[in-house]
Amino acid sequence: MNPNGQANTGALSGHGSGAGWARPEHTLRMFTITRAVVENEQTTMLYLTPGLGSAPGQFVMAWLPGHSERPFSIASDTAAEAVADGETGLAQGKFSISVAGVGESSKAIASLQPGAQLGIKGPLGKGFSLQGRHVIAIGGGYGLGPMTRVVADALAAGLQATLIVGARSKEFIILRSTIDRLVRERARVIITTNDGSEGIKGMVTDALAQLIADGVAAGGQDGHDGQDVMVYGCGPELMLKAIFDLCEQNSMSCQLSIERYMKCGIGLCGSCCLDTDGWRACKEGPVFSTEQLRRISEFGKYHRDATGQKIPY
Amino acid sequence: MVTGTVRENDDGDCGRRRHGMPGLAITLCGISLRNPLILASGISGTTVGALRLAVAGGAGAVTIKTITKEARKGHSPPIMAAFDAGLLNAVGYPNMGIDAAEGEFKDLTSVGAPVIGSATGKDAGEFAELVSRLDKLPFAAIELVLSCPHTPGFGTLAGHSTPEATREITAACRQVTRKPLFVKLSPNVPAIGEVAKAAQDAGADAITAVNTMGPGMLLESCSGQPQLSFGCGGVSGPALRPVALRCVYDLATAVTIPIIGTGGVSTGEHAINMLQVGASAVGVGTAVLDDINCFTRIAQEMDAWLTKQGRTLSDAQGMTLRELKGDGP
Repeated sequence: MNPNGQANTGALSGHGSGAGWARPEHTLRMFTITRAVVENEQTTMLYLTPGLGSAPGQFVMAWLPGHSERPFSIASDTAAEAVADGETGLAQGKFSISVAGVGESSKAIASLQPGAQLGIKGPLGKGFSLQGRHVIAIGGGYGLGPMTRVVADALAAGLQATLIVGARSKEFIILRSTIDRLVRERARVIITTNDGSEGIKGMVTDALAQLIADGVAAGGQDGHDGQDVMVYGCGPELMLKAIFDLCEQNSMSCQLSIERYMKCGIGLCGSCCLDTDGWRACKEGPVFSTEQLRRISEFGKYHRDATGQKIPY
Repeated sequence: MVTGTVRENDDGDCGRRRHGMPGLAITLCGISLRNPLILASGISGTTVGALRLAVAGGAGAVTIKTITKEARKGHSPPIMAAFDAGLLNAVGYPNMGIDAAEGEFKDLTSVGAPVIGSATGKDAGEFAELVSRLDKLPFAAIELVLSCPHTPGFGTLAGHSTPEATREITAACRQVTRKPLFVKLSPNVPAIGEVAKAAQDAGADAITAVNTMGPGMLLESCSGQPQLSFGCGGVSGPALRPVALRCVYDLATAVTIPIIGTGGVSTGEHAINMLQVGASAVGVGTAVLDDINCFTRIAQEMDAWLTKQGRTLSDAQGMTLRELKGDGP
């Protein structure tokens, strides 16, 4: 990703893009599924080609004709010119989304097989930007995908990187091979499960608090202080709020990806506007900085349903 | 694509230009606007925060997303499809309903610009009930939407775009509010001037012209399926602009009340064109797709155009009409 978290959309090469007025990322394009990996009873990873050239934290609107369009975060994205993990062999690169088969349309998308076509708008929104010297990336549930991308980018940039993985229990931990690869590339990986079936029994914030207590986040072995640490988070909102509060108490900066009901995904419908300043989760977000999060009055308190009425957390 | 957007922290000169373009200030139906650019109904505007975002982006006034009597989820996504000449949408009036809207919009002081309430109903009685409730909220004006082309039970699909229905609905609402009443019209009618005259006769204070045109349709070729879940949707953006311009031109000779020219405006020159054919203010909607700060840029471009031409805003307004009258078509 580039310094301000915007993707290089110049590398886009999807099929069926409209020329002229509409930007490629706002226009429906059909992508081909190359691989479908069932991660657990809840989640399937779908790999699609070509790649998007997205920044970690950006998302796509995915649409299977005849079903509802839905937002999905981009779990991996390999540009045509930078095939990193050697497993693709695809000249045009590929990207992936993790699909939790909960609703009617997610189930239909999750059941797609290689060779099938999926409609995509994206990459959309503002992603994470790499800052600081020590990256602590925290992924809860299917929020792990973007966090593995942040860690991979941090390692590639020569930064110290810690990945905290949170899950209900061990069978809900997705992207095992990616986690293993990051460990090989010298990322520190800490796993927490609610039931203690793997790693630390507890919440991701327990692991973060321990890192802080150990002095890793403030004056670690490199002698850097909290100013040099950037905490990244993606997952359930109450987890994010707990991370934010912990960061505030310890004067640490963070970038968190906020999930809201999104209808158009391209900044026009107003479904995902956040109080107080009306920032759109799909445009100014979904990733917000510490300074922005302080101004989002609804963060951790409520979200809105499809009609715009408030739903307390 | 857009360049030259002024940032909050730019230098003093840009700060002056952002907030101080006195040549662009207008008064519309007694409402003071710092510039003639109004966030059109249906684009964002769902919450007080959403309105604040558009004002931070330079809008002179903002219109809320249209409120109906009941809360609505609207059509299932996909609700928007961008194409090479514009945007197709069938959003289907998702909104929190009038009960929740009374809470959401009870205090508008933080918005920082005049706010126009927007309502649509199934018949004149429902319109009047909504307007009587919006009247008690701090809106500067209330807009009636008689022209949505893609929501069954409302707008053109409910026959609200005829002169007769327009007269009936406007008259019913006129009885329940003294606030300025705007009527938003469809371009998909044989004689828009006749519809506008009916609105004016029934007590409308301004005409907003136009809503989206069509409806149109776009397909995903492999499946042959429409790109919108509703099948078809209203056309906005560049494709709509010449149609909107012609509609405003027609209206300028049909009615004496102000016109808010809306449809495909995304540059200062487009906005000036709307004024030239007789608009008093300019609605901006689809241009937000490019950048929510487009209002600031468009205002700067208008200011630059006027300076270069050595004209004032009022010189530009109605220019086309005067020219045509002078030369004789």
